[in-house]
Amino acid sequence: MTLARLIGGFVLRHWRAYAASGAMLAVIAVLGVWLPRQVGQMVDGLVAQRLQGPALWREIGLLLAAGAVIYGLRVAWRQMLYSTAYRLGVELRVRLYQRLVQQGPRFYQTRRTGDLMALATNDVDAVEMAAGEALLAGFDGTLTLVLVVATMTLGVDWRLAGVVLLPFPAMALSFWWISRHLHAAARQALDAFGALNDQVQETLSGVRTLRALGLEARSSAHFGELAGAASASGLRAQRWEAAYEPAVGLTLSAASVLSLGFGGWLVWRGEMTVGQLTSFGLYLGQLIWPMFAAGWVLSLVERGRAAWARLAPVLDAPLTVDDHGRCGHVVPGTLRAEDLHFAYPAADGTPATTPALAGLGFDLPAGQTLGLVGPTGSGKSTLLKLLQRQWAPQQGRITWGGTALAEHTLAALRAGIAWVPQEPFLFSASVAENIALARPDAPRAEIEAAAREAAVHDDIRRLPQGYDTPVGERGVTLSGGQRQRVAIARALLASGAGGAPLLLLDDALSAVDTGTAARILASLRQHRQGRTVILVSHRLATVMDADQIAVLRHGRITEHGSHAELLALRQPDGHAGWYATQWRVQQIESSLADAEGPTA
Amino acid sequence: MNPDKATPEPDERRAALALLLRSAAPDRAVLRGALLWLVLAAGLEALGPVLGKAFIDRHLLPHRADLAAITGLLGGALAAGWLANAIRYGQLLRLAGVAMRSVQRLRESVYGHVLRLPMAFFDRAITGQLVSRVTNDTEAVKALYVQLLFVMLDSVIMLLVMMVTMALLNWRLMLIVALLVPAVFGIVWLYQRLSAPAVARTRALRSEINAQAAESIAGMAVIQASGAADRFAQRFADTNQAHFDSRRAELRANAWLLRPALDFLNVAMLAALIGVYGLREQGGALDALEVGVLYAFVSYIARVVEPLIQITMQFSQLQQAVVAAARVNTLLHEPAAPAASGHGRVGAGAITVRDLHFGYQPGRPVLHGLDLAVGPGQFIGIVGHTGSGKSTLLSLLLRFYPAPEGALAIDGQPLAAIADDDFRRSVGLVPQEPFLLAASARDNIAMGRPLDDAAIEAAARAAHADGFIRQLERGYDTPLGEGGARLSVGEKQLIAMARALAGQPRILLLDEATAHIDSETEARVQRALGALRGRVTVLAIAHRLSTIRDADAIIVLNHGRIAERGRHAELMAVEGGIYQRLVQLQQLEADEASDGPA
Repeated sequence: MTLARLIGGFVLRHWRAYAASGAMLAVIAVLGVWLPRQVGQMVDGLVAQRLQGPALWREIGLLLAAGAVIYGLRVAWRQMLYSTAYRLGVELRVRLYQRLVQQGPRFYQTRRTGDLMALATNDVDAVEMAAGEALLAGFDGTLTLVLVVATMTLGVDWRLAGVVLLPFPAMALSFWWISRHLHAAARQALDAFGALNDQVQETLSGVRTLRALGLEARSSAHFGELAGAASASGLRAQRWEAAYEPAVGLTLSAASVLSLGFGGWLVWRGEMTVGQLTSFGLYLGQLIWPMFAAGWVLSLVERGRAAWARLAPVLDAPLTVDDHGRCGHVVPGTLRAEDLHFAYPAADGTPATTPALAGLGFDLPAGQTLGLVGPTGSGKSTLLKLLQRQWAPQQGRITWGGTALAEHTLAALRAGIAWVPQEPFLFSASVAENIALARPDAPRAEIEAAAREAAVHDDIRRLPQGYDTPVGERGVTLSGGQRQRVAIARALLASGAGGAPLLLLDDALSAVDTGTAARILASLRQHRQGRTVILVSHRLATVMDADQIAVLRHGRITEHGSHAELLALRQPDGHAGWYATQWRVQQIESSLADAEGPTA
Repeated sequence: MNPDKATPEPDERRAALALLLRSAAPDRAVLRGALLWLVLAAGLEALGPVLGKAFIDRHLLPHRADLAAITGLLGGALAAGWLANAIRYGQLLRLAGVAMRSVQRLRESVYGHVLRLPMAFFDRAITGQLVSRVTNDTEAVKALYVQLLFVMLDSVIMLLVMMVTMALLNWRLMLIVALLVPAVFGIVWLYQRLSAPAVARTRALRSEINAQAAESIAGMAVIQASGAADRFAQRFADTNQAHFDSRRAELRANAWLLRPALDFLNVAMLAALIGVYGLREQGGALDALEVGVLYAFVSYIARVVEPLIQITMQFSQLQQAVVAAARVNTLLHEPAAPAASGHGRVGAGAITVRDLHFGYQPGRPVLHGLDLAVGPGQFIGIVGHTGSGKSTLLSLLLRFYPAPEGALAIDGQPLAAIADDDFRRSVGLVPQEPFLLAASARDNIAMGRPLDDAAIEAAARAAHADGFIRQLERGYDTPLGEGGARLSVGEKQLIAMARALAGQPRILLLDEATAHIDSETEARVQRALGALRGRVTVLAIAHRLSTIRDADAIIVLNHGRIAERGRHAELMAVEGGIYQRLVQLQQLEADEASDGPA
């Protein structure tokens, strides 16, 4: 769909507002050209002494009344037209958001947050401007131009109009010429500013190196050069922008003098009155706006088109998650993965060469806890994402309680899984609302119970407004460990009694100290409530007490068993298994970390 | 400081104004000259209607055909108009030059100042915000200059000259036109009063919309997983609706009190002028002299209303710029690091640490009484677990933070007493995360210092980086950094070492990268360090213990104290010692890394 069709459709939908605005603008335009004429006639009346006393007051009254009507109509159409155009902005933004909310990770993988944000803000604004300002200015400008020229030509004197209008095409031409150069100069100025910005960014990021090498003076000199370049290009742009004024001024001067000269000659010969001459002067002033409007409308439309070209594909982008399952609720049972193969697709859509999962399978009966460990990048988080159908495996399948994952509706699946991601996400709301994200109607007592299980209740109580303290971007900043615990509380509330039967914790205790982590795990075990839990961790101590532990390396499970079994595991070459080695490493590390010394 | 603040405080306004005056001060003479020319231009502009009036009153109406005089008057009006425009354009360009130069001066002084700020400032500051101060905020100051100089000054001059000319023609009528001034000010003031709450609310809601969008995009996976997608979509729709309502409220004030009202004032003024005329003529015949004046005044009204509108409309944009200027001012007043004023010089490169206590914040000490003596040319290794104070010691030796008096000395002189340029030359740093410029390998080593190719390549050889550099696609000219060749962590460290060695330092401080590097690069680093023995004093914070195995002494830091010190063999003999455990740990990790397919 092109911008024209989008706006056209919008105008049709709101045709009443646009029609009314158009009508009002037309009346204003007519009255607008009538005013100078009226003034002219009044001046003539005064000169000829025809206009006195009550007649004079009546004419003045008419003038003021016309002015008042124009004022009133202007107030009316402005509100009507602009507020209608604002609606388009609201529509587009809400549509965009609703689309985004349905898209899966595949969609977000290829797009930067910054770009999506720009769509929702600048680009929607540009389209809105095209539908509002541009339409208005275009209509108004054209109408004014036509009416004024018509009145000058037909209503006063066509010869005078011809002579006086001579300079105006030159003005229009100069506008066009100026805007072209301004466009180029503005772009150059933007580039120079960008270069300056980049240099400052680079320098300030590496300020330690700069300081150590004593390069401050050199850096300042380089900056001075770039600042000079930015200044010069800014000046050039400013020059062009300032050129509009003399363009208008010279034209108006010439037109005024032409009007005086030729018009004066006509008055001399009695073919025109002084009053009409005065009107002419007023009409000349009215011609400036349409000249400006043309260039302005064109640039608004251009920007609107470019913005729409970026917006439309996202609004119409095909959904990257499929939701064809029909099973509306999850039957808790054994979670079974069979021979899973998965590789993240590259940005251009082709599968990557290194698989994330290369033949993974496991069997997790309901109510058991599975600990997943392994080096970074071994596929642990990927497995959790596949369990939530954020991605689909290229090979193999996952069943839950006998039904394949793909057979469930996404809503059912999401309701059945409580997930704590690696990076806890807190949104701008109160702590209580954050915890209750999956169950917004949960009573405060349950929220607090979940917080207690997650060992974060006391921390929350210490916040300025307790559970109602706003957190997130514009709220209180919580420490890494606190944020993780809030995210855990969220998942615990979602998987509480009657809630999600599967709890996925992706390295959810990394920022939490060992003592608190142990408390949370103990609490988890205590309040099991038949929950199935998959616990991913880098710290082996976290998964020590799981029913099953699996070591994931390079997308495969290489070791599997209980903690004791894995410690005793020996590889064919006699070396200890990965789990056992890692256990020793982590023991030494914690001994070093706990070595005597004052704690912070 | 709240970035969303709409209106500046009074002291901010003063600070901003002071800043503007300071930066523009060197161009005082140009400003004065431009002002005078602008007054002249305004006068010429005002002359046009006067000549027109004379034409009408003296020749047109009385039918007095004096061709020479008429040509003179009309030609004069044209010439005056054109000259006025030409002069104005020329002066506006000069003023633009003043604005640009002032901003350039401001930028350079802000940048220079920022580079002199103490390291502690950079620890606290957010780089992005800092960059914004230097670039975006100064850009806003430029806008401020342009508004003030171009629009305000120009409009005020125009207004005054028009008023004076009108008064000369007919002071009574001028008074009537002068009523426009308080009328326009009044209307705009009323507009700003009435619209301020709506404007603020709109801005806040717009901010909220952006924040919600950004937040949702960032946390989409969690929102979807929690089944909260519909709720969030509803919340977004509601916020948009509130924003719409707020904009409509703003629009109301806009529509009633801005352009339309001002245009109506125009009409009312016309009516008033004509009315006054009519009244005067109740008595005798309309003096022919008066009609020309009416014509002139009609032209003047337009030339008065426009500047008035410009002056008043600029206020809101001015406010934003003033807030930005105030921020720049605050930055300029941030105290710079005290410049080292000593004249000491680094000699052989012996380092002495005596009872060093230090903390970044009072009451939270990081180092507790370190004692260390390093002879010239020695190779010392420093190890310890995270948070033991290793990097802090290095930062202090680099004078990034002020150390307590007498605690640090080089060749017997207190650290703070060494001359700045000598210090920078004599003490080199290889940081933990080497910073690469988006430039060639050669430029990355030279870093803007005047070094010829021979010196650069010698340094690269000493750092054992010459080999791999020559193997890059364009050798020393290969672009590195952003958009350039991707180097491994180890290769980056070798470049950084070459960079440090190119300055021929007496003392080299090395803060090793924590990531794994391949064994070949590791060997190169070791060889490079070994070759410096006896010539350069080396203090190396090691994460890979193999690097410092052959050091003259190894210092083991633990929670800010020296727990063990000695050579490798001695420390390994300490049963259950920290060093021994660290070595064991590294051994296990190395074994684990070499297992299984890479």
